[in-house]
Amino acid sequence: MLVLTRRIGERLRIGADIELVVLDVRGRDVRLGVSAPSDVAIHREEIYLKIQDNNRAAALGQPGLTDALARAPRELRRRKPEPRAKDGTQCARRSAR
Amino acid sequence: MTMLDTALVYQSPKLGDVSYSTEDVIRFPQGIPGFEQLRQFLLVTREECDPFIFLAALERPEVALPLMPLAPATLAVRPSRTALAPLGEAGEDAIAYYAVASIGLNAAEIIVNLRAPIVINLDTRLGCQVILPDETLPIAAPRPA
Repeated sequence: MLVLTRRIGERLRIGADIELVVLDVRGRDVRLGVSAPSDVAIHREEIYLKIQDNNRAAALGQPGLTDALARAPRELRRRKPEPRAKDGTQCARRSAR
Repeated sequence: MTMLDTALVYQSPKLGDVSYSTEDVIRFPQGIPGFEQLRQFLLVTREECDPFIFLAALERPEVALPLMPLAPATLAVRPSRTALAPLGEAGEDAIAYYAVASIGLNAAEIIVNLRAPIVINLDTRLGCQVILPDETLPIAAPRPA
């Protein structure tokens, strides 16, 4: 890893179009400013790692995923579950068969 | 587009055979976190899985992310213009938002990521996953009722 010492207000340039500036240092906190082209994504690392984990778990999850979803009661999948009485029977507003 | 619009078949171990054309392909110029090297995806719908759809990777067919559509009006925070710049110009109607969903065993538990929605410009067929600038939004939330 390249290690450089910078003062408040001093900058680093990474490649031709990414600029990093030290804005402020207070105790253990450092405020950094980053300028980069719009197609370069900039994230706090710990958040990025969580989203990576979450995506991998979602994408590579159980086999038979679509079957599980297809078998799941529709009220688990729809945004608004059908109203049900507390004992589990269908509410009266649904017509009896 | 000069490419021939012939029917192609995507063979997915999770979703079965899906026919598609080159126009259906959605490009993620930055990939998505966890799959940074993947660029081309399909949105696959299966009637029996409604309302969930799947973001399926053309380059790695075992990768398919379940997505739950999010109505723009329900978003707590909109992504900034800068965050959406890689998607190109778009009318408001062309931008679709989805939460990545983790489906538990037997779909009994469904967890959604409300912090980092997948955003797709349906006109330019470009997509990205944005991290919303609100630290209170959960990455793993029980599915909103």
